[in-house]
Amino acid sequence: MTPKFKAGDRVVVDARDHVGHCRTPTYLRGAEGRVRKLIGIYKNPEELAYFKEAADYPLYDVVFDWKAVWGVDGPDEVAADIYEHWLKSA
Amino acid sequence: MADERELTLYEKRVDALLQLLPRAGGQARETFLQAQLNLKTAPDDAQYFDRWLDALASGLTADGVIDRQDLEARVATVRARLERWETAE
Amino acid sequence: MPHDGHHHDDHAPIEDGGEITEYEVLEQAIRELLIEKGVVSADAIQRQMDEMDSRTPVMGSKIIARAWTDPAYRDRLIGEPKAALAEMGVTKLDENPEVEVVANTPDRHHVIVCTLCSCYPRVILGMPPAWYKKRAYRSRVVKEPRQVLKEFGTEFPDSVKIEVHDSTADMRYLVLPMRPEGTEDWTAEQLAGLVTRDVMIGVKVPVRP
Repeated sequence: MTPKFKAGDRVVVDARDHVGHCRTPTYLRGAEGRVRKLIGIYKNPEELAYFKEAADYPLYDVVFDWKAVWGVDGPDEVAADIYEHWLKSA
Repeated sequence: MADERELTLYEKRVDALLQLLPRAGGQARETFLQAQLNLKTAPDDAQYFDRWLDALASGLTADGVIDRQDLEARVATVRARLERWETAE
Repeated sequence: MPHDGHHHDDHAPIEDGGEITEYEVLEQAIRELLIEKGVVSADAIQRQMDEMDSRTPVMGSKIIARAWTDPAYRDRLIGEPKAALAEMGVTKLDENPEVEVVANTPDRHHVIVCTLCSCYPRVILGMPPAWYKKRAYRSRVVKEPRQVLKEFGTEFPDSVKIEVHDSTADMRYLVLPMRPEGTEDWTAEQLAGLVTRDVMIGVKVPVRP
């Protein structure tokens, strides 16, 4: 599994609805952020319950400006760990 | 935000199961993850551990990890045992 | 009588005092059956509970104090946290989610949350405090971190950027705070006394008394 993104890439969190347990928080859906680094390759927890052999997914540390998340200017940032299949290029 | 309290022994025991089952492998792990997917509770819910236990009881029996009749029988045995203990006090 | 008043056998009541609830009965029944089926062992459950009781913020305080007094250790803690934690006697790192150490600087302060549940660096700090699990903290700290920190008595000028880490996946975060000024001649042991649990979550900063 070759990671699609690298540090510095601008990415957007997919805004799709996901039924059931999910590790991508709603407030970050649709927000644009910056990949700070690739954390590693992990089993996707959304799949573990359905497939005996869950696929490996790259996991990224993604940083978001305040405005990108909340729509208003602010001095602060939010960082979250997000799996590759929830990200697309900005 | 100073409302600290120790978990009760019951809560600690459920918590230990919740930590161990995903590492157990096999069907028990699958059942745990499926229960997690379906669970409608958050850690600040007063019934958090109870809801987890309900989800595990139905998942583990539905998936055949433990037998439903065995569980019912064991619940009765445990209850009788604990009641006997209480009256002995 | 099978029970003669000692409290150490497997069949002792679950709680001292109070009524036995149906859920306590159900928990015990499920636990016994899982043990008999070999899914989990009684020993593993006991060890897990002992471990949660024994893992306390004291371990974290020692780790932070060492990082403050030993620059090479500080580098390892940030660069190779697993090895650095093992060095300080943190066990079972492989069975727990990975820990990432985030260091505060004069212009950046880190604070940790898990907005989805209550993921927490348990392997070092033990159980999360009750407030960490509350929606009031989980939903607010990502939206109004300065207000939430203020309620903990922590305030920063706008020149300090607050970075809120939402522990959404396989990483657990631990905040490496800045060493307070005026503690240059303090020993690691004295310094450890300044590093509270709340400081390692990032809702407070260590202060020299």
